[in-house]
Amino acid sequence: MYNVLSELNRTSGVKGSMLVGNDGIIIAADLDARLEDETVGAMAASIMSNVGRALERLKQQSPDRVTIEADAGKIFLSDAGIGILAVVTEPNVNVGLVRLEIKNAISQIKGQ
Amino acid sequence: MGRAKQPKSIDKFQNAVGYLAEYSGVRGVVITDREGLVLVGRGAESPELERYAAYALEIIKAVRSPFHELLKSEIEHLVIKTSHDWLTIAVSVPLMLVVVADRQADDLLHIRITRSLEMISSYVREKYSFSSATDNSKAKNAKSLEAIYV
Repeated sequence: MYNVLSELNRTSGVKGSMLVGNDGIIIAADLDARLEDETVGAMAASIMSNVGRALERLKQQSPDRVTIEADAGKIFLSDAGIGILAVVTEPNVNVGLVRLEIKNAISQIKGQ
Repeated sequence: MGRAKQPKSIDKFQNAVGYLAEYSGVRGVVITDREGLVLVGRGAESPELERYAAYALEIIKAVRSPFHELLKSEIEHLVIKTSHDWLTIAVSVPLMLVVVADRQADDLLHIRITRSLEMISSYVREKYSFSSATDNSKAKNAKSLEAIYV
């Protein structure tokens, strides 16, 4: 699992990635030293669960991808089957490339 | 007897909303205020747009705090994809633009969203002096956002 994250982190602009359970428990993490595993994990689980609850009330399916952008960076959260794949990037990242690498990582995670 | 003339602000917002609503795959577009009320909407039925406006604000409120804790920054765009839908919430203080589209809609929709947001921001800036051009005004914006979403 760590190898999958490490490979994903080689993408230009990616500051770190982690796989976290829907309950916020960290499954695997490979984050930049400035990012705390617990903070990112809790944030990822909290955001996915809050968005999921709001969508449920809107009679929508649960989210399989949530992207948040700000001037300090971007966060990509994706449903990876066994948990949530969270990827933190620089603000001016190649979004297409990051998405592609996330897709590859998810298929590897699901295949393990 | 002619039609009652709409306020200029609503006309400008209608342009921004219309520009998005005509795009293939877009099902609804709403500009909402800080209370989750619909200012201008196009596409879906009115009650549906009201629900999207209200829940968009709920989502931003719920996500803002954990996001800020991590990146110490305010949310500009939030994109949610489900198996059928593509929901975008773009914050343009003191308003929000909400776009509901088919999941399979063309990725170029993102460019239209950015353009519409620029139209809204430019009008709001011109009219109410909200600006994101300088650090000073960014700090002011962050404070305004704090006031809006807390």
